[in-house]
Amino acid sequence: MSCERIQDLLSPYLDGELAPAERADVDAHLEACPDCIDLLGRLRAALSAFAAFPEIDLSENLQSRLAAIPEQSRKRARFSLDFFFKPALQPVLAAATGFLMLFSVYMVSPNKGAINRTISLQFHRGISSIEKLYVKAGSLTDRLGEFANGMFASAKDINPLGRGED
Amino acid sequence: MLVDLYSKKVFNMAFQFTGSFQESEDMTQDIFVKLYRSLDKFEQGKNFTAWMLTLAKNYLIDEYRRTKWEKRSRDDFEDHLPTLAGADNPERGLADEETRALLWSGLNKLPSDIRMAVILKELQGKKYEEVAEITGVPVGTVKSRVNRGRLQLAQILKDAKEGTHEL
Repeated sequence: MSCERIQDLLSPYLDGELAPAERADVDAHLEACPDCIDLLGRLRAALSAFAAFPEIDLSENLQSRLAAIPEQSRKRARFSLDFFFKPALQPVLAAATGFLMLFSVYMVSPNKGAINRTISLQFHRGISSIEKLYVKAGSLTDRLGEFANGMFASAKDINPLGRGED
Repeated sequence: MLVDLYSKKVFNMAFQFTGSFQESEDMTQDIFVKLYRSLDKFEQGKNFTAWMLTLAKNYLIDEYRRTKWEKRSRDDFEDHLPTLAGADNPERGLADEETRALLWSGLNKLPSDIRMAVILKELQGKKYEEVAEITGVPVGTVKSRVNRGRLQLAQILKDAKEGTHEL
């Protein structure tokens, strides 16, 4: 067995995972190979040193930082739920739900063309209505202007003390 | 409480992986924030410890890739790890201390996947099957990674003995 092959087997050898025959082959190689014996010794030293590595305790600072996390997470979760249960948001959510339902109906409808035409017609009707209202508002403004001008002209002719008639 | 049960384990895993005490504290906090936000994703009946350590491992590996840790040095071994007593045999105690210091700095020379496998197996004391569950790779791959890691660390010990390794 070559030294390279032994290198691959030393880990399972140390873990006790080799079959008896393979273990005997490794033992036979080790008896005759100082390099592999040396490697085995270093591997054992490494594993032994790792086993003696202590666990470090947490600093007080980290402990307090970690202790605050559960409460922060609860607050965060509560905030996100509270937001959706706010009374002021209910009409918005209801409108959004209604819109989504209509949109769903539209998406699955086989008569999308007819719906599109109806929407287009209603849209342009709406635009026309707004335009008419705007024109009416303009004429009303003009009338109000004329009325105001007439009122100012009449006011200029009024003599509040009535001296002109003397 | 989760923090009481797992914080020491997660912090030590982060410290062993990064080698930086300060960064490990920040990362442990980030991992627990992430953990609490992900609790609803845990499937009942599964191994919670493995799930939590997988989350920690993923975070550490992602940060490793993002911040290029391999270019950073580790904290000095003596700064945070208590020394071995070695009162009955001071010479042996000194040699063990030196070996531990070499291994500690040597961890930084291992690629991230091999380093994580070695840490979980040798320092966290997990079985190969548990490491496989945490890292999400087959047991054979874990064994291969641990073997390669052990051989690399043994080489570092050899180089140090021959005076060619720098701490």
